[in-house]
Amino acid sequence: MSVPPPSSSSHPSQPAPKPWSVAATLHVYRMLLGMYPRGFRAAYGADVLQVFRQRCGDAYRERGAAGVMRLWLPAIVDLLIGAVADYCCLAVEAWRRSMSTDRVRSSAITVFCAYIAFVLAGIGFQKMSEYEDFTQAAKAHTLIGVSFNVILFGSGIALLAVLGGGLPLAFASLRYALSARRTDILLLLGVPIVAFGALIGYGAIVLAVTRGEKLHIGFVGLVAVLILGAIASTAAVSLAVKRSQIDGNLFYFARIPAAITTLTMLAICLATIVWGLGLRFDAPQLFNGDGGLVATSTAANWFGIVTVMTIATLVAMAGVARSFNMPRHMRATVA
Amino acid sequence: MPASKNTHAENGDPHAFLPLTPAVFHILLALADGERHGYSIMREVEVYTNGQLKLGATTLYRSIRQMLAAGLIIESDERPDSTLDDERRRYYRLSDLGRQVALAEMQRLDRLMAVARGKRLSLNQAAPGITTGMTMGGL
Repeated sequence: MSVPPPSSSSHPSQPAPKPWSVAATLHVYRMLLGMYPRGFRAAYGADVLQVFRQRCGDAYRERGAAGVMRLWLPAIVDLLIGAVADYCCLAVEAWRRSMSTDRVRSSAITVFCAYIAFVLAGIGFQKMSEYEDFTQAAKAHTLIGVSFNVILFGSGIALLAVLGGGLPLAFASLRYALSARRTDILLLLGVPIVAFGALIGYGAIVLAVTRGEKLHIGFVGLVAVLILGAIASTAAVSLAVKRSQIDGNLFYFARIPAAITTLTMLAICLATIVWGLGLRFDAPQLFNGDGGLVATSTAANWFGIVTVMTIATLVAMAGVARSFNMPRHMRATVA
Repeated sequence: MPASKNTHAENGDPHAFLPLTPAVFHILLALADGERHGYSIMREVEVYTNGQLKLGATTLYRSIRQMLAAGLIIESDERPDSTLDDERRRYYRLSDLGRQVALAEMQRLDRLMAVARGKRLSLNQAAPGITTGMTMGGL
């Protein structure tokens, strides 16, 4: 290692007494250096001071106190410009981090909302296809049977993926609400429980009032309660997650289950289309009949379900694409 | 630096770092001869610019931080003999990428000089105070 020509400045292990001009200058310089962000001071504060100390020592040896005084203006300008530039860099970095976190956060929320809409359509499909005629058709015709199985299998995968990506976020939101004593977030997180209670309560009331007869009258109300509860729960949980301070890495991780959910939604949507077309060609009497919800047209029900599923899938795809198409600098700030 | 430029820089393309700021280029030049610590870099720059460029201590270390992050320089693991120098001093040396970037900047400046010569600029037209010693490429 080539050691540069030693400066005539003092060796730190053998400190020489400092002239007052040097000591005062260093004292002021050390104070001004305190303006810098902590990270810079921790990493380079000692080095900066050492370099400036040597510069002061050399200036004093060359020109005495006047030489030290001549260092003041350039040193102050250097300190101020550097501090402003450093804080600007930190502000830009913080802004980028917030933008990227917002982006993955809104993407996760979009996929979640789309999934809930998809599930509602899926519940409609499940209710419609649970009748004996449809299950027999699924057994008798390969196309209907295979597509039906794809829907069942896909529903399980999508549910697992949503739980895998969503539960850590929900727990993180709950933990934040408890630690920060955010009653508003706790109330929002309680909405799904209330909605579920309302659904069970409504069902119990309908059963008690109708005594098992004319259940279809209560069924319409049940669907309404289910849809309203799902909308309220989705909005409340989304808002709770949005209001919580959650580690960006959790959202970054949630992109993978969100992508799996979206792909599964796409597969289910295609399978539902195939199921309907198969039914139309292989069991037209069923497709053209009134086997839909509350004895309505099967074809109309199928079309409505496919429409909702398609829109939900497209929305989820847009959300996932947005989170995966983040600019490189945004990805770096999240990860 | 725009995102696309950042990407090239991360891929080790020396031209993605150009143009260099004066501080960064001078630090690269100062380290071209071998390892130096912060104050030595500062003095070297001051000497070969005839005292016309005096790097501030914070400018120096902000540039060093940036150059370390970009992989242009490397902090040396070795420490000099404590009888010769302060053990706590940090020494820096050029990385291969840093050397390539310095060369690329020199080529860029060379091309600029060629353009300037083509414009028939001569030292006789130079503003008062500009000396031949400080100009690059004999302009």
